[in-house]
Amino acid sequence: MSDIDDRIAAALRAAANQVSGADLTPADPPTSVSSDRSRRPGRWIAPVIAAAAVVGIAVTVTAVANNHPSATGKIGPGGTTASTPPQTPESTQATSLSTETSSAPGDASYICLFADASPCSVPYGFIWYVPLWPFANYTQVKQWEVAGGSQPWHLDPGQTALNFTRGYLGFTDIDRVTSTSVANDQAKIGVGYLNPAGKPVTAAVLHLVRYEQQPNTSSAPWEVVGSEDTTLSLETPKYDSTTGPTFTAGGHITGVDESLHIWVRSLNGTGAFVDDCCFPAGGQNQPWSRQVDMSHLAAQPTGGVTIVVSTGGHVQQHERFAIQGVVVAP
Amino acid sequence: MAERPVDGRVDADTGVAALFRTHRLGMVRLAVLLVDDRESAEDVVQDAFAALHRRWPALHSEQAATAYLRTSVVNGARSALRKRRTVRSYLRSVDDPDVAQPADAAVLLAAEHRQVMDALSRLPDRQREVIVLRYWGELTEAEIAGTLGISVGAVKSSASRGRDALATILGSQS
Repeated sequence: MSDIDDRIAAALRAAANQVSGADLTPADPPTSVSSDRSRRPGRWIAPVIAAAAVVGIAVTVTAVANNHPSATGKIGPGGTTASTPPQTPESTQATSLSTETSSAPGDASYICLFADASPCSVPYGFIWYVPLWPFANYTQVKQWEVAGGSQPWHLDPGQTALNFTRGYLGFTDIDRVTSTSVANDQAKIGVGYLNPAGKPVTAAVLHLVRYEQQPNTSSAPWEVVGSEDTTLSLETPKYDSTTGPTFTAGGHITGVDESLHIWVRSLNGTGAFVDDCCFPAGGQNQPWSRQVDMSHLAAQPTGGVTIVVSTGGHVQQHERFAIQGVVVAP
Repeated sequence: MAERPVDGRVDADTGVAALFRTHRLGMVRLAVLLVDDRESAEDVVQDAFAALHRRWPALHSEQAATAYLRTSVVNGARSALRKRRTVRSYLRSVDDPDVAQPADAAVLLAAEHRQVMDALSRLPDRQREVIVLRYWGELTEAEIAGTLGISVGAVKSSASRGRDALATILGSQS
């Protein structure tokens, strides 16, 4: 073989060998039962049964989300699970954004996103979006509206995402929006920076939702509710779960010589309740975890909090980050 | 693959389970080379095994089953890439970015190999598939033709054009 043939063969071998048996997501071979279930003609049966059940309920909840955590079993809005079932192709690449709506008796359709923004009747186990920033609750949204809706950046998901990253998290080395995808009441915004070669790099894809009572209210402000994680994920505690002041934060990471930094922030306090730096991590989709202890704090956060994990140090301090919204109870 | 019973046939569950144990990793690696993303690759391979299970009664040898599996993986990878391109083209129409990999992505694969893989990703689908099956799969031209459903002549021309294109791209980079 010539030099070019050798180069091609060696590169393909090296790239293929990056995947080892241990890397593979555990999966079972298809069987007669699972194969029958996946056959196309049967796919309508489950939705029809579900729809029939829903019709019988006084308050109808139409779940059309492939993105909402309650519908997907994901860790949070737009979050990534490490154990993505291989039977659901591209489940972590969902780009169609959707909402949950509910018809309250005798009233217009409400949008069931935030627990305090709409009188929705929702199924048991429904996972609400946790309002992380800039509004702590719907009362603050109403106050902002009554005050005339000042600061028009609230109506721009890109600016809101960037302000969250730079102003609230303090990641001032992240200075640009790298991607924008907006559909109805939801947005996925990539925020990032320029690498030394001058190319934009996405540090995180933030998930934002309009804080509103009725669908498609264009005057409603955008709220950061989570992140869509890929090579750095924050999976525990689970999204919208209630935790005490002590918990284990964890997820997965792909990278080399990473240095993780964790914060816990809340709109009900100033500064970070936890600022834990730096612990090493890395590898190919390797789990990471860290004990977070706020029990010794005189003033502990209550209500919705933002857990943040970042890594960096190769070209700048904050190169990738992920966030998770949970509720802290005393 | 499981040992066949006296009547010469194993049922689909047994036969596919045996192939799953022995071929899943290799098929995921093949899919990774075609889609450059492990999660998508695993999805493609899982779908391929599901298709194999449904097709099992019509496949009469391990060789035929493996060939069917390989073709399913290549077709599934092509389909995954097509979907991804559609999504990317939509996202780019919404906003600009030609977004780069994370800072340390290149470290995971040696620079020399990354150069080749980047060059490979710039080839048309057919040429890339032929190159992967020939250089990594070490298949014969007839086997590649069978896998892709094209003639041996088309395999030869795709391999030749793909190799020349890679040499040109890599030559201009060095």
